[in-house]
Amino acid sequence: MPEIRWELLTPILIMTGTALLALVVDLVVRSKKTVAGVACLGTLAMSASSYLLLSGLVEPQNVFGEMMLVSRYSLFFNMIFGASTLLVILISIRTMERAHQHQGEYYMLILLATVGMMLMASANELIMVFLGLELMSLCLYVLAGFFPRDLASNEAGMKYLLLGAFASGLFLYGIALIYGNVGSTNITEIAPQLPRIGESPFFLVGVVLLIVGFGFKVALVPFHQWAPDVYEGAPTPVAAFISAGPKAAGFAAFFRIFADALNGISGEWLMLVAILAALTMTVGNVIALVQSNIKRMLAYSSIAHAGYVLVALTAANGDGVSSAMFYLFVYCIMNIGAFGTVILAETKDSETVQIRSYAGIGFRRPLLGLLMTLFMLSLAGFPPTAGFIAKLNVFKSALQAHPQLAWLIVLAVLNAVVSAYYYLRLVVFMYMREPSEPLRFLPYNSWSLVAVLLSMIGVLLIGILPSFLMEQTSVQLFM
Amino acid sequence: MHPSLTHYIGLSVILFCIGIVGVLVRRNAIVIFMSIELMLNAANLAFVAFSTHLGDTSGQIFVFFVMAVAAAEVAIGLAILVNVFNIRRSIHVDEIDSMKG
Amino acid sequence: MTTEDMVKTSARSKTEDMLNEYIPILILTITAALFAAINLVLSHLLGPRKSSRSKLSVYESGMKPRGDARHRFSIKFYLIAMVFIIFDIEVVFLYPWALIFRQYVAAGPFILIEMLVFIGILVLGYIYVWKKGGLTWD
Repeated sequence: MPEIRWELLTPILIMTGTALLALVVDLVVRSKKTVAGVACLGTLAMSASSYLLLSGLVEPQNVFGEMMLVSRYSLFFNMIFGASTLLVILISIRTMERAHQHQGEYYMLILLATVGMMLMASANELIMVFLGLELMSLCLYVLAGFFPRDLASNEAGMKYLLLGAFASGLFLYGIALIYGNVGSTNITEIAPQLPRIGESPFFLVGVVLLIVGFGFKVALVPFHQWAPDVYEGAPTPVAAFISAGPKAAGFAAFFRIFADALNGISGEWLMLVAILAALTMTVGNVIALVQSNIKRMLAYSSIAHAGYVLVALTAANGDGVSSAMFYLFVYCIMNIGAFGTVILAETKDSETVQIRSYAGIGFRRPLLGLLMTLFMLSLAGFPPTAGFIAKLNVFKSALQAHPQLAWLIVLAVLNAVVSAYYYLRLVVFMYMREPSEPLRFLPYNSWSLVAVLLSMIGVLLIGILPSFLMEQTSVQLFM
Repeated sequence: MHPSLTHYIGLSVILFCIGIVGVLVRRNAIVIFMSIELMLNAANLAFVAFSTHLGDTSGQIFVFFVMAVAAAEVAIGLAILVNVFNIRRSIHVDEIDSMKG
Repeated sequence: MTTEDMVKTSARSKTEDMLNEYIPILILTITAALFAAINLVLSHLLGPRKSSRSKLSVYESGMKPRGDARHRFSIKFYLIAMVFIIFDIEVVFLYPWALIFRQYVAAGPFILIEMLVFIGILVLGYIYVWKKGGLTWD
């Protein structure tokens, strides 16, 4: 009988229970805000239990036979997912009230996707990674096309579905090839076998297929084509959700497999990852320069940020993993904050998605201008925001681990400079341009405002006092 | 002659490649979707072949999971595609391109 | 011989035994196919053929045929088919469970509770589909 250790599974059990509870509540209760409330409370409880476990845990623990590995690493990722899901639920309430239909399902899908992400971060089996990935992706396909009467949303759902399912197929085949060579899909059993199979071409093809599969899911160039269309077409809160948690989850599994299990053959994949990182940063930032739609701009910006995180993977050591965890936490908060601010800027007629519509907002809506400026500065990586510390950590860890990859760091810094141009362009529009036509803004929605203010506090607090979060992210390699 | 592991893996690789080519070449969303299912089933075949070869049953259990996942994917995928068709009267991916940039 | 090789050889000979057991079925299949094929070909060659209008018409249990065979189904049909596939596929998880049930149930009722939870979640999904009207035809 496999050992289960329920106490270590509490975060996942709470999240699953909340998702099922949301389904039942949706069936019996009329006010859909109750469902949102249940979802918020469940997410909070999950984050709290993850934090409690995190502060008590030293060694990684095998649970559920050896299907999952609960470690500081997986628990910290649980907290990233908890934070981003909570913020997304808060910024969704307004949009969903407008939509009237299927509100309960919306929250349930968000919760189930979060369960999938948690499975990915704590999986100790490739097949668990696959199941988590699919649970997450299937929910996201539906969420992206959540407004079926809306052409763009519909199209976003279809594109995401076709490319996402294609990526899953590649990923699964990679798992099959690795299984054939290793004789097991247990992630911890791969490393000892590497001397025997590390050179086998079938095994290496499997590894490359895994990289491609992850590349699609976290939108690395050249596998990024779906991202801008999906972000633009999907409802804004869903775009915020897709840009945050699922990306972190993809990286969680990516790092777990590559920095841990496949570390022994890092010579084989290090260059490939470095090139992908360079391409992702550069292409993301350069295309973001010419965008006129803010959701598309944020999409390309989030592609570029995936490139920065990938730089941390080239370090392939404990420092690199810690810096990536820190980066992903900060990235999720500031990116959801930026999307939340876009939601706050909605007018009577529609959402404000054209960058030129932001002209003059800085003085007409001071709070909104201030918030947007802060998030843009943080995304660009200016001190004293959290984005600065996060970038600094990643670059430092990568440089220390592989001085010969200095070109990558130089490129990353150049990219950060280029990205400042389009982030600050929005700020310039908000404060230094006159609006061409008067926009009739709606009053701030209180729930979205709460979420955006929470993100703002997070970004500033982490930027000024990063040591608390850094303590949480400190992991030894082989989490 | 009994088919050996090589034959099964060969067949699985061929199926997988047909699936990839189908996704990249065909323009009808339903056919693309079918090609993706072919890729998943190629992986299933590889799992079962390896599992028999290694004398390890876990590979066969994975196939069950993959089948369940594939069924869920089909249900969701068809629902989304039917919706797209209802609105646009077409599921040719080249014609569905309202977003650019 | 290492243990790994032994496992491989035993696996190989096991597969061969298994394949040998299937040979009678293979022979039966081939015989059946040949029998049917020969009969069809013979009757096609030997039988007299006189076609008339009523012979060529569609036969629908003696009723007058109505409409085209390529009938459009209601979308509801596909909806129910999709729901059916989802619930149907979950049954595959019962088989491996049933195989090891006897072995583990002695150690406690945990294995039973595990499956009850699984079925419970499925039932929850079923109730959801029911309540949302996914099973009603109109």
